[in-house]
Formats: sequence, C-alpha cells, structure tokens
Amino acid sequence: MLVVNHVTKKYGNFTALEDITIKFTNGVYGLLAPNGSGKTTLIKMLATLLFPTSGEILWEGIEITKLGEEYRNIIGYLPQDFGYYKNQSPRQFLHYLAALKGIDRSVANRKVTELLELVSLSDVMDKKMRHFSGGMIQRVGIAQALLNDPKILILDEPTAGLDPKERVRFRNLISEISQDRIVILSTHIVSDIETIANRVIMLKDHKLYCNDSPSNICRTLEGKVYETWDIKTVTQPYFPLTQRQEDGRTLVRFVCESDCTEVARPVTPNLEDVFLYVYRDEAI
Amino acid sequence: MRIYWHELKKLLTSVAVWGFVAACLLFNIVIIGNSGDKYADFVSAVSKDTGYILDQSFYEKLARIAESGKQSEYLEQLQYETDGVTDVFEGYETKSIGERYIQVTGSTGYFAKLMLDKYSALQKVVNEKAKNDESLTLYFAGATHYRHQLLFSTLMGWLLTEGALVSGLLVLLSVGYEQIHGTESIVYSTKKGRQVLRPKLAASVSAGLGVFALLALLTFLIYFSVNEYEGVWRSSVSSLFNYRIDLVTGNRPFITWYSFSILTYFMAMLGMGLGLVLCFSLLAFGIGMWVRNSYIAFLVFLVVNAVTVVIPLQIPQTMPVGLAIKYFAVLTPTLLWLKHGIWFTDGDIDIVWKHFETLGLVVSLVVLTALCVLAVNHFKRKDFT
Amino acid sequence: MVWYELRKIWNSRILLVVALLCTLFYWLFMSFYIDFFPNGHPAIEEFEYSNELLDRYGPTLEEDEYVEFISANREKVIAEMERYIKSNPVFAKVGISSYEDYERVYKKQNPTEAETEALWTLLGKESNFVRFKLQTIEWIENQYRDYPRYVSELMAEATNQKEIDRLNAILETKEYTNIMEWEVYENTVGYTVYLAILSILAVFVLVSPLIVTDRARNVHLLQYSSKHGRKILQKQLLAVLLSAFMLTTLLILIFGAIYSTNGTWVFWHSGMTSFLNGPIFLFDITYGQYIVLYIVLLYTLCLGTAAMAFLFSRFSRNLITLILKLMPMFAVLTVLCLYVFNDPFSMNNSLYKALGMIGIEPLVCGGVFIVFLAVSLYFVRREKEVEVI
Repeated sequence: MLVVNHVTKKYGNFTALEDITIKFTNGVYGLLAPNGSGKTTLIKMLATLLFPTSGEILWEGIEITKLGEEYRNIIGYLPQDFGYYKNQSPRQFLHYLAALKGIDRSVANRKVTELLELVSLSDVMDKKMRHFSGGMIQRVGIAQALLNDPKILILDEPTAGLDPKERVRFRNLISEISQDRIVILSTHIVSDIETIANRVIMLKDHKLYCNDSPSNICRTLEGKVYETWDIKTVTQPYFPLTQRQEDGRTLVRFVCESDCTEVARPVTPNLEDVFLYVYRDEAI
Repeated sequence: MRIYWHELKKLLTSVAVWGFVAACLLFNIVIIGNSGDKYADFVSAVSKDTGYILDQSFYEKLARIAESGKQSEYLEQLQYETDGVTDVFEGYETKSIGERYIQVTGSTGYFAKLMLDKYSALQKVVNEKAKNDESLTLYFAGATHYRHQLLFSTLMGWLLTEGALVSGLLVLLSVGYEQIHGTESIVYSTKKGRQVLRPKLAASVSAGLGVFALLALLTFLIYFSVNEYEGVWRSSVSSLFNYRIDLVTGNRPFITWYSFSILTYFMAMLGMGLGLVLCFSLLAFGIGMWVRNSYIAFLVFLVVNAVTVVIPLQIPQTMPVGLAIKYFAVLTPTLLWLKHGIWFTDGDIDIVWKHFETLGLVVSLVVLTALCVLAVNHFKRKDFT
Repeated sequence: MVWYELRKIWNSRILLVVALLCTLFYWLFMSFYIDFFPNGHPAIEEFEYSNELLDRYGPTLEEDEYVEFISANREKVIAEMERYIKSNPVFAKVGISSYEDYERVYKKQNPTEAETEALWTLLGKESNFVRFKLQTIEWIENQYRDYPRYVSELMAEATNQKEIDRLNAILETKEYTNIMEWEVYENTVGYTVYLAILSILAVFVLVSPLIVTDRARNVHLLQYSSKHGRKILQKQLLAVLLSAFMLTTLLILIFGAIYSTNGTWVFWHSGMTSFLNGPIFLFDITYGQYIVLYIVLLYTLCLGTAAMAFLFSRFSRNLITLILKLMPMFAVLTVLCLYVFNDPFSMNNSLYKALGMIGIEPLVCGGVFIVFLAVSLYFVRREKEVEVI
C-alpha cells in the first residue's frame, strides 16, 4: 500500500500542494485536475523527483526516500514530457534504461522486444528516434515505464499524442495489467478515466478535493444536470457545461442547483460534468 | 558495469569530442613542427657511441670520432661545450636560495622556517647528486635547456591544458547529458536513479583520462619520431647543461628531489599529469552537480580556475595572511598546472613545501573528493521540477 | 522582434559571468600594463622627457629645438649630479669629486665594492635616479642623431620597392622627427592585444548560447511556424551582431577609460614613426589614428567572431558540443589577434613580414568578418527552405 500522508510542497512562497493525504491500493487511480493544480508535482513526488516540504510518502509503511532503490525498483514512470536520445534507436534507449533499472541483460533482451511489440513499434525498433512522431515517442515512453514490471505505475498524461486507435489499445492494456498493481494516471481527458479508473482523485486549490469511485463522484451532481434545446427558457441561475449541434439546433447541457424539470430534461451526470462544474472558477 | 559502458558510449559517440581531440592534436603538431633542433639530434646520435656519462671514456670516444670521421661544425661545438666541464653540484650551496626568497617575500615565522627547511633538505640531495656525479651527464649539451623546456614545459603544458579542458567538458557532458536531452525525469526515477552519477563519474573520468592518454600517446609518438632521444634517455635531468631560469636568484641548476633520468622524469610527469587531469575532472563534476546549465557550468569551471590564480596574485602580500594564501594556493590544481615546468624540483619563490607537486596532488584529490561527496549529497535531495 | 532576442542574449546570469571573466582576465593579463607603467628606470625618465618634449615643442622635434633641449637638460642634470656627489661622502671615499670622475668609474671594468656603492647611489632613489636622467638624455641625443643613418641602413637592406620608397619618404620629409616614445607604444600594443583577445572571449561567451538553446528546447518549431516564421533566424543574426557591437563598445569604453589613466593620450597627435620609437610604420599615421584604426579593426573582428559564434550555435546540438567547437576557434582567433595587433601597420608586424602585403591587418580582420557574415547570411537564406525535423 502506498500512502501519501499530509504532504505539503512549497516552492519558496508558493504552495503547490497543501496537506494531501491519499491511500493507494491495487487498482487504477485517475488523477483529474486542471493544469497548474499540482498534479505533476504530486506525481513527481511519487516518482522521487521532488521531495515533500512536509509530510511523508510511505510504501508498505516505510518512507520512500528511505527505501531508495528498493522503492524505485517497483515503480514505472512516464513523465508528462520527456526527452530521448535522438541518435539512438528505441531498442538501444530501452536497453540503457533496463540497465538503470537493474534488469539482467538476458531478461532485458526479451523484455525490450516484447514491450516494443506490445506498443507496436517492433518494425522500427532499430531506427533512430530522431524521425519518430510524437505518438511513437509516447509509446516508447510507455514501454520504458513497463520495463521492470512495476508494482506502481505512474503515468503523467499517458494518452497525449496518441491517436484514437492507439488510445483504445492503451486503455485496454492498462485495464489488463491493473489487476495486481497500483496504476496512477493523470490526465485531463475525462473519457480515459471514465472507462478504466476505479477511483478518481481530484485536486482543487492545491488541496485534495475528492478521492472516490467515478460513480460516487458523479452522484454529487445527481439531479442537477439537465439538457435543453432552448436555453433561453431557463430562468434560474445555471452553469453551462457543453453544447452540441444537431440539425441546426443547439443542445445545451447545464448544471442548475434548483429544479428545472419543467424547462429541461434531467440527465445522468458524468465525470466531465463534474470536472467542468468543480473547476468552473478556474481559468482552464 | 553495464551502465558504465552505456555512459561511456554516450560520451565517446559524440563527434564534437573527437573533433576537439583532433584540433588539439593538430595544435600540438604545429608546435612540434616548429621545434626541430639538428644539433640536439646530433648530440643524441653521437651519444649512442660515446655514452651519455661525461667520464674519461666519453672524451676518448669523442676524440676518436673526431679523428676518424670528417670534422663537422656540430662535433666541434660538442667538443667545445663538453670540454673541461665540472660537477655543478660540487660545493653547491642551496641555503642562500631559501634566504634570498625569504628576503624578497619578507616572510617570517612558520613559512620562513618551512622555506629554510626545504633548502636544508635540498642540500642533502645536492650533496648526494655531487657524490654520484649526477650532473656529469650529457643530456643535449648546449641544446639542453631549449629541448628540456620544449618537451617538459611547452608541450607538456599544452597537453595538460588540453587534458584538463577535455576531461572537464566530458564530465560536464556526462553529468548534464540527461538535462540536455530532457531525460532527467525518466532516468532519475529508475531503480538506479540518481546513483547513476557514480557510473557517470567513472565513465567520464575514464574517458577524460583516456583522451588525455591518447593525446599524449599520439603527440609524443610524433614528437619522438621527429626529435632524436635515443642515446640520452638515461641521462640525468639534473645534468650540468640543464638549468632553470629564476628571476629572483638568477639561473640555477635543475635540482630534482629524486634522481631522474629523462625517461623516468618523463614517466613521472605523465603520471602526475594523469593525477592532475583527474583533479580537473573532479572539479568539473562538483560544479556540474550544482550548476544545471552545462554552459554556465563550464564558464564557472573557467572562472574558478582563474580565481585561484588571481587571488594569490592580487592579495597584498605584506600581510601574513596574503603569504599564507599564496603558499596554500600552490597546492590547488590550477597552480600545480601552471608550475608543471618545475614539478619534482624544489620549486620557486612561491613554494615552501617539499615535494609540492605530490603534496598538492594529494591535497587537491582529498579536498575535491570531499567537495564531490558534498555535491552528490546536495544532488540527491535536489528537486527536479 | 530583435528586441526580444536581445533580451534573451543579455540575460543577467550570462552578464554576471561575462563581467567576472572580464575582471579576472584584466587582473591576470592587463592590469600589468596599468600598474607598471612606465615600467621602472629608465622607462620612467624616457616617458617624462618625451612628455616634456611634447609640451615644449609640439608633436615634432626640429633640429634647433633638439640642440636646445639636449644642451639645456644635460647641463641641468650634470649640475644635479654634481650636487649629489658633493653632498654624499660615499663619493669622496672612492675619489669621486665631479661628474667626470663618476663617469670614469662608471666605465671601469671591475669596480670595487665601495665604487659600486657609489655608482648605485646616483642610480638610486636617494639621488632621485639622476644618472638615469643623463642616460635618457644621451639616449635621446643619440637616437635623434643616428636615426637617419638607421633608416638608410634599412633602405640598403630592403628588397621591396615599396619599403624603399617609404623609407626614403621618411628621410625626405623628416617624418622621424615625430615625438612618440617607444615605452608608450609598447605598453599600448600590449594592452590592446589583450583587450582584443578579451573582447573575442566575451563576445563568444555572450552570443553563442542563443540559437543552440532555442533549438535544444525546440523553440524554433514555434518560431518557424509563427507569423514571422523563419525570418526569425535573420533577426537572431542581427541580434547577435548587435550584441557583439554593443559589448565591444562597452568593453572599449570601460577598458579605454582604465587605460586613459596611463596618460598616454598626450601623444594623440604624434606620428608613430619616430626616432624615439622602435618600428617603422608603413603609413604616416599618428598615435590617435592608430588607436582609431585599432578600434575599427577590433569591431570588425568582434563582429566576425559573433557571426562565427552564430554559425556554430546554429549547427550544434547542445551547449557542450558548442563549447567543444568554440574553443579551437578561440585559440585560432587568439593567435590571429597576436599576429594582427602586435606592431600593426608597421614593418615589424609578423603578418606583414610573412606575407609582405601592406594593409594585411585590415584585410585579415575584414576577411574574417566578411567570410563569416556571408556564410551566416547564406545559411539564413537557406533556412527558409530547409525541412525542420
């Protein structure tokens, strides 16, 4: 079990995260928050790249910085944006990282080929990465995160740059491997989380806003989300969520704290609604 | 070990590094190309027959060559130069050197005592050299000073400079590699994590030393194929023909603490050079840990070295602390580098320590290692935002 | 647009390092020319007398002025010497009672210890270094008298018709009567050579990182695809050149101001080919013109350096490989500075001696500037068509 215990992170006077407490057990955690809310800071702390100003992060009851190598041995990390050695092939690059992850050469040989196949890069695995597309680089990143078969997989914006087909494959991959490990993935693509996350963590104003299952989170807006073809008829104060064009008309989805059943059709809230509503005051 | 090879490969596949090495080599070749001295080559060739020791048999053999072969200008010159030479160490007093230095610097107390101690210790060495007739060796006769300076001062000096620069840059390249390529977050979150610095240091240090050794090998291969040394390799560097320029005491013999032949002195210089290059690697490593931008880091590397030269120059030496700083500054890599021409000798007016180069190397290595450990500890707790 | 690039170049961290490097460089190589000017005796006397000559007779010394100066000063100095000889018992002890006695002992092969002491007394502080004054007056006298012969000798040895013509002109127009003291000239040359090397170093340090940093961070992708597009590289080249110009100006102002404390500017209108100076100049230029020419050459060389840095920066993948390329370039430019700025425009200049070309100095500096600017412009043009991967 991975525990984030009253963690605060400050950069000088700026507080990036304040008093965060989260317990992670096996399953997929979706970290959902707008940019600049401290998502990456939290993730980097889990990846030991940043250190909490106060509080602690524990793995099986021991502080991760104390565990050192032992802890890093069980994590796989895909940073939000990362560099690569342009003049190396993915195979060379992964072999280097396998060495850093302390994987035997023979195991690495097998594992690298296997993973490059898994992310469908086997036909370019000996080409220099200089000419790779963003999506291909992203897949190299995913492959390296999985190299050591991590117990904790930390993915920062993993689906950025992937095309729809790759994204579906990625989701399936995560679902498959999430049985006996902790997967923490941050994204602001709500549909990614909706389909695979067991729990959703939201940060607001640099604090933990909620940590719950997607359905429970959606329930917070139960009965408050409506759709209407004619938004002008809504007289109560409301917050518009999304619009959809259909046959030249506009279907507006909105949140209203008071009852609007007379002018609009109530619908089941989804995560996106919650996201838009919770962060309505923040410039996204 | 595997990581070490990976790191080494990353450094050695850099085209720019090899370009720089080629440029250095070219530079050294230009120096060598402008350096020929036919007379010295002649002396070396003759000494194959006569031997390099200026004893009875030398003069006999030299005379025989003069009789048998055709007279040449060089032979006459050699006869003239070696005619009636005496042992320079016989009755040579070192005490006055130390006294003159103390007088000029105005140092008192501890440092004055150190200086005097140094020269009374040197007196024993001189007596020993006198007993062994160490100065009665040929070296390059009248061409000695020029050629000694060329090899041990000019060429060695440039090699050390090139070695220090290239090893410093290799270290900074290795340490800054992940920052340059944006792979810090991936690399430092792996199992090895920030401990990858250890293989990085090992790889860059060995690459630096390797490049230095390679440069030295190529440079000296060319140098010794152009300049003839064959007959005089075992001649002493403290030959009566060798001298050093000293503006304070006037020119004086080249006195080494141990008895060095040209060959052993050359080897000792190379060994010391490797040690010094290692110091510069460690210095660069320490700086690279603190300064993330490798361009700034390199400039800081230059500034640090310049500062160690400037401080003892600019600090007023009328104060005792000024003198102390000057004497301790000699033990830093930069000043050791500047004084490479008098390594293994008693040193000059700035030096109160016996065996200053060895002492300096040890002190530098210890201090720089400590600095690196500190820097690594700082690096381990560094935030990668 | 150029403004933004300039701001990127002139960032505080780099400026701090440049300032530090300049200070250290000054202390290591240049402060000598300020702290030790004029450097000892008789350089001090030579500087003082040549100043006096300038004061009294203007930038040239005519025959009658020469005669007057020598006789008047010789008398004065001899009187001073006699005064010291009379007042100090060291002289009486070894039988020196007059100037003539002193000179006799002075020329003696092996003076006794007491005699040596007496000799040094007139060369020392206690008698105001008076013997050095005499030495200097004699030096001035001999130089002025012998210089035409020296020029004729050079003429006899010269093989180059242009040199012969020039030497002839110096004799005919009596150009050598200029009052330009060699210590001043040597000091200026030494200082300006180091200033040139420092300027090149500073320009390299300041302007090199711009392009490579942008490209390493992939900023050029944004730049190239923006409205301004690939013209940005042109702007960056302009910014680099402008920065080099500004930095060179700054360095000339700062180090020029420091140098002015030496007081050599009184020679501003003095012709360089002078009986008191060493080299023979290929043109009839004054000290002031020499300095102006130096500054112009320094500007061209620094702008050429900036263009060179721009090119290397454009074709380097990261800062370390950039440094690896710049260092040999810096070594080459340093050697170039030593060749160009040591005795420039004179027959003693090494480049002139090697190639025999009059005006080789501006040709070399201008060449560096034009070649690297042209290559830079070529690549700036070509950049408009390259595929950015």
